Amino acid sequence: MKLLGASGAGTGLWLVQRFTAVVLAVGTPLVLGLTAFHAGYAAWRALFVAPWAKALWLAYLAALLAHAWVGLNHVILDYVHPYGGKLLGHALAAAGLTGCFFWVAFILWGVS
Amino acid sequence: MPKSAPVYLNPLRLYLAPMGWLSLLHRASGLLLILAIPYALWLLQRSLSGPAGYGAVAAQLSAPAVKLLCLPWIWALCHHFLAGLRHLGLDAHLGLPLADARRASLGVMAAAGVLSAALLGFWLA
Repeated sequence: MKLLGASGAGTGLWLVQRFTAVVLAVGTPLVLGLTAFHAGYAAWRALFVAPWAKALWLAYLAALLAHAWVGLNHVILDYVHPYGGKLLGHALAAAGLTGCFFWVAFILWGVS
Repeated sequence: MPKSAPVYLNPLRLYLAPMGWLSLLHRASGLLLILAIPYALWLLQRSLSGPAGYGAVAAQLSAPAVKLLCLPWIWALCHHFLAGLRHLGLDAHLGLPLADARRASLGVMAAAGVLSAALLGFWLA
C-alpha cells in the first residue's frame, strides 16, 4: 500500500466533490429561499452582519468554489488535449476561483 | 469487418444511452453555472452596497426579459441539482441495475424540465 504520492490525489478530489455536493444540496435551497422571501433591504443586509453569518456564507461559497474546481479539473483533463492547454486551463481556473473567494470575503466583510 | 471503416464519426448519429445524456448534461450544466458565478457575486456586491444598489439589483431581476434570459441557468441549476442527487444515490449503490439506471436517468431529465418550468412560472408570476 502506498501512503504518499499522487496515487491518493484522485480519491481526495472525489471526496471533496461529494462532501461539497452535500453542503451545496442543503445550502442552495436555503440560499434561494432567503433570496426569494426576505423583506426588503434591511432584512437582506441583516443576513450578512453577524460574524457567524459571514462565516456560514463564506463556508457555503468556499464549498461552491471547491466543487467548481473539481468539476473544471475533470472537464479540462478530459477535453483539453495539448499539455500547454491543460496547464493554461488549470491556471485560469485556479486564478478565477481563488479570485472569487477573495472577492466574496471582501463583499462579506464590507457589511458592518 | 466491413471493408471500409467510416472515416467521419458523426456524434449525432451515435446512440447514447439515457445515462450518457444525463452525464453529458451534468457537465454542460455545471459549466453554465460556473460561468454565472461572477454575475451572481456582482449582484450580491451591489445588493449589499446600500438601499440604492439593492433597488437597482431588485429592478434588474424583476424585469421579465432578464428572467427569461435566466432560463438556461434555471434549467442548469435544476438539472445539476437533481442529477447530482442521483450521483450521490449511485455512491450508496442505489439504482445500479441497468433498467433502474435508465428509468432514473429519464426521470431526472424529465423532472429537471418540470422543475425549471415551475420555478420560472413562480418567478414570472
